[in-house]
Amino acid sequence: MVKKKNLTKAFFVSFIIGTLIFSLGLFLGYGLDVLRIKDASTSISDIELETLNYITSNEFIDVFGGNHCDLVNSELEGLSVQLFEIGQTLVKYEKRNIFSGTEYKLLKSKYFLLEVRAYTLFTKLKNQCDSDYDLILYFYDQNQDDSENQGYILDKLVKSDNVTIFSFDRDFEIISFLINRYDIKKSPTIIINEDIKFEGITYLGELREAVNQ
Amino acid sequence: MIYYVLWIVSFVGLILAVFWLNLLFFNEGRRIKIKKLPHVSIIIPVHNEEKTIERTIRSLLNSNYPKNKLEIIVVNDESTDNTFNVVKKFKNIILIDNKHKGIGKASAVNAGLRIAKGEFFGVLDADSEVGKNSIRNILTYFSKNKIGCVISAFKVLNSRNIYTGIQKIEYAFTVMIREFMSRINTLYYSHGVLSVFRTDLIKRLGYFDENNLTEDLEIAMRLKSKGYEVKMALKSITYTRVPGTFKDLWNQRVRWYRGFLNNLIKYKYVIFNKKYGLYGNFQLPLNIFSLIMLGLVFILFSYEIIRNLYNWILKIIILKFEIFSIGDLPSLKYLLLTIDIKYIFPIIIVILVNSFLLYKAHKIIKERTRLFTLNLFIYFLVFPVLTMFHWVTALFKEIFQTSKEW
Repeated sequence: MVKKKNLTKAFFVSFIIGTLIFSLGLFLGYGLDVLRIKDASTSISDIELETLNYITSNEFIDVFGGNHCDLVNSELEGLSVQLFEIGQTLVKYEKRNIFSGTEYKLLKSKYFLLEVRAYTLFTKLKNQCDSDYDLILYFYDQNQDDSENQGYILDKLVKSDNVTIFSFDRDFEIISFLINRYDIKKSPTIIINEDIKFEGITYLGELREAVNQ
Repeated sequence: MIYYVLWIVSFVGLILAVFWLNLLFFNEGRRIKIKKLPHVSIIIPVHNEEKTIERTIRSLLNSNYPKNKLEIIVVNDESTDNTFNVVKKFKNIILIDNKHKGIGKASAVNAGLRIAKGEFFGVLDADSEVGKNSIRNILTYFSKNKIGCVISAFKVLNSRNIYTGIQKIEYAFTVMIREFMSRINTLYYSHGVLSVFRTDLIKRLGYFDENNLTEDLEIAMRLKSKGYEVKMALKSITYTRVPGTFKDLWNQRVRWYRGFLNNLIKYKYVIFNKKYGLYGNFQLPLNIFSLIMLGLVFILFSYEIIRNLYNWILKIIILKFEIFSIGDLPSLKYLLLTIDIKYIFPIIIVILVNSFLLYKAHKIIKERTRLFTLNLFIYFLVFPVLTMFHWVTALFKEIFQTSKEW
């Protein structure tokens, strides 16, 4: 029979080896977290630059004159797809995060505020230029299956129709002014052109019908 | 929630695996050189075994144990087929008839034990066979009086279909784990593929429990509870036929697991009892913990699978099958960054640890290892689920006390 001393030693060695291997797993997780944060930050910086470009151009026209409607072009459509995709990616990354919860909260706050600024500008342009693009506000709960499925539906919509979607995690305090203004009580909730409100999961057909009105 | 359980299971599993493997560096159980071979009685309980009993008896007759010291007792337990006549044609074999009184084969074994003359006796199922040296080798492990039982290392005889194929893998694994348990003196199993006992001791302890579904487990647990040791004889190789159909496998496993639950309750006082050393304070609690974890992982995985399947179907319906469009294929960078290490890492650890243990197990019992076979795939992915259903059924039957038969 194996002696007690040897058993203790064997168990101790096993514990150390097990802990080392699991530390490697945690280290890998941390590495992926860093890469994800870096990727999300780069994407947000890119979109921030583009949005800032529109906002600055708009302010320039306000002061020095010009036609605001010149800003409504095909690039705006690209921007709207990008905006939505970054939102979706952020949700996916955050769900896989192990150590960087605070960083994601900061990034998301920054992203939501950027979206609000873009939404304000786009609404102004739509009204001034009588444009036919549709603006959609989408409030989700990232731990809810219905919200995840709604995300897929909106992803299809943004790629096939002339719509711009601004997605918001309704649990974020920083956007409480939006929650109050639109009286958001459940997830997912969709507001189309400040006019139509859908609560609960809404299918592609219904959404297309609403945006084509 | 599920990944917390996964991490705990894989962490504990990894530490245990390394711990077990560490034991390989220590010597196996001490063996003695037998100067004068003792008399041994081999009891074979039979119940409708006309197809296999002849080979079982022949394997004993072909063993190198001196025939004048080997007593073969076949106990016919109300067979309705030709078993009786098949056995009758062998000379120098004691054949007795037993009226089935108990719920297990214990009644038949006890009938044989009552007339056994050997200093040691072995129990051999009628679907099993011994190797040439099995009996000689197994006796060398009785190195001290405290050893009450020694079990052989069994291999599967009939590896023909998926059911038997996965059991072949499982049995290799089982033999290795039992060898580890034997080395740290926590082994509490005996089986019907040649387990040898001290005759006087078992008679003194009151024979086999005739009202027990797994009398082989019960007797080993009783020995442990009385302070005796159960050892594994790696050098004593035996062979057995395993269930070849879903129904047979199901019935066998449900009976085993019911027996385990029954005996666990019967010997619950051993758990966390200082008197029983590692057996009571490590092995039994570990087995209970593993069972709970298996259940928890099963429930959580089932929930996740059903939830994801539902969402996937919903996604297909709501997106009108556009989900399959080529344009949706993700980039490599995206795939890498969306790896969920919380799930992937523990799953990889579990697979790697199990693969390595399986490789070692096959090496220990000198079986050929084949990687990437369908059996291996089923063993890893389907068998645990099936095992869980066996456990749930066993638990259900134990709670509602449905009929017990062997």
